[in-house]
Amino acid sequence: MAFESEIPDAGFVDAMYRAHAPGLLRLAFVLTGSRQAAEDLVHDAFSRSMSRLSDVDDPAPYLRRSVINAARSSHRRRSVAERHAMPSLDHVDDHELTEFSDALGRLPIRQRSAVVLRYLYQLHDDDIADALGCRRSTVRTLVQRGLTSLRKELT
Amino acid sequence: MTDLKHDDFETHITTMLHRVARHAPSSVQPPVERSSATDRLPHTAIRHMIVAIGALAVLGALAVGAIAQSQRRGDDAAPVASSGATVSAAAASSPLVDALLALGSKVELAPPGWLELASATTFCGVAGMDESTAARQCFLDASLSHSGATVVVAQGTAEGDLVLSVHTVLADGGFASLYDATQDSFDSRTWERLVCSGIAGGEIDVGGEEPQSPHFFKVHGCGDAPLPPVAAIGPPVPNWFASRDVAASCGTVFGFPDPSDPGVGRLSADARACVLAALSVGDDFEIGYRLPPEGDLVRARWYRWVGHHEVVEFNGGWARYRCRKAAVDDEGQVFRGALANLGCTVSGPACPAAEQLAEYLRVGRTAFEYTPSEAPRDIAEGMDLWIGTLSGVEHSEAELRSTLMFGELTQAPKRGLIGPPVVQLFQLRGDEVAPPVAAQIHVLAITSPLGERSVVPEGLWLACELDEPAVPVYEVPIGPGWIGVSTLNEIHAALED
Repeated sequence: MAFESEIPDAGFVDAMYRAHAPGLLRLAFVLTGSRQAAEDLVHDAFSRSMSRLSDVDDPAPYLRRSVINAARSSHRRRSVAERHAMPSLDHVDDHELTEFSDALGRLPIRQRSAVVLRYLYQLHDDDIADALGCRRSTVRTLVQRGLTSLRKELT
Repeated sequence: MTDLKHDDFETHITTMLHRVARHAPSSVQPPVERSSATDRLPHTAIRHMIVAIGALAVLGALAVGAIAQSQRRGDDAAPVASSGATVSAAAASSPLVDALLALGSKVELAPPGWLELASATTFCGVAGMDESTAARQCFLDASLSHSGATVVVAQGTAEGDLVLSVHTVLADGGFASLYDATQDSFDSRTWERLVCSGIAGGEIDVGGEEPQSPHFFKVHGCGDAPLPPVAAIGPPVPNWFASRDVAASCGTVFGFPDPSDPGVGRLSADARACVLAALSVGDDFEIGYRLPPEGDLVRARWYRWVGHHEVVEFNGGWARYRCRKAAVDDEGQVFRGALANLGCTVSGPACPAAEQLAEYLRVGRTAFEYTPSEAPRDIAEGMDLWIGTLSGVEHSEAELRSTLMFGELTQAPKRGLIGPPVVQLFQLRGDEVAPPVAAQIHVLAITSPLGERSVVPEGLWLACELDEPAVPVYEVPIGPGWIGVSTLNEIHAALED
């Protein structure tokens, strides 16, 4: 039946997961600062996207955008207290790293996403704009503001 | 960390991000092996918020019933004109006095003049000990904007007697309050008259066991004082706003908490959480708050989600805006973006902007390739320019010509027509309200859609954004009267450059 073709087979799911999950987990973790949240976001992103992935030429940007949108939605839903307690590198005995993670966590989610996509993933403005659903000029603004805030906090 | 040059800093950021990413989980099971996202419980806090919002809806429904009941009581009860009453004929037939009589009040014992003063204002209704949403919201709205309105608060004593408070908003932000203890067997059985200086409105406490009513209010700073003059009564809240469909309230905020306090801004964390919860589940909500005054001018704003984001503002006059796009600001501090104009303020004469801008565009047709059949907004969009208009009244000419006002003008950019064309129609001169004055000054700003700009810096943490916020690239004062061809060509040349 027609709708059966919309359900991806297990092999396809595994292949997609092996190919993209590690990178998406890193992205989600850097955005949220939480291993558990990262796992949830990636899981949710795959859950929502799996039926459409077979129709997408390049799944990576699609999944990336899905994770970012999920992170933004999650961010909106979290309480103020949780929001301002974003970093979770408590287990890491590295002051510089936790300080950086704290500062990153205080960036607005769009700025944070733009900075991460630019400097962790080395994406161009067009790709970041696609991932964030905004204009290229906005990407530049977001990155610039994010960097300015980070510089202010870290220096 | 030592001060790094820009390129070095970017490299540092890259390095640090990679170091953070190393702590990411290395794997997660595919979704087919885990429960679905919808099977997992939402955050406890979110559940609490949703419960709170649900409770609000229930309380609101109860309140509507209570109000309807109290109003029916008032309607059914024939006004009793007591012999020897000291209430004037006009006041005796007022909805306020009718309601008091229906509640058993001995209005003839009221201090002379006080009920007449209160009857000169909009009567909000009777608020009981229950959630009398409509009456309380009406009074809170008037209190925020110093508009003339009166509410009766009915309370039962422990002994079962009824005591009534009659609060009237004064134009200076104070309140003329009457306390009717004539039915209280254990009190003085008299009326007490007070003038109060302040009010505290309720913000919903979503984290509490029993959410506090967002419609709760309390007047304070009360003391004996003579009867305020009728001139102390402000104009009423306009009907188009007073008769709106009131959404579940996240509170009415009269104070100005520290805007630099992270996570709070100008609102409490509870009010903020209430709004976030409502947004997250798509429930209608509204929240009212006072803006810092400009001189003697009281300013207030109501932010509403009623299927679309809407802002109602009192700034001497009333205006309503509809946001094309809105979102909660992640940093939680500034109200970014721009407000799109929904229409002219209804408190004054007809909005002049459309016709005047059309004329301006007609005159400038040569320079801007204007097609007469096009609407001004279409023309502006076709030119890919941002055209803003703002009209002010005579007494604010100096302000309009100041940098500050240009700043405010450019803080409300939108393609086509923008901004409240007439924002102030009445001028307060002492305690006298001057007649409406016509717009005298027009200012035109042409901007290009570059970047983002804070538009309401004194606002809260709700973002109300246009798709393409603008910054000004060219501004020119053009008043009185509208801009001429030579100036248009000058602007055109400047833009070409």
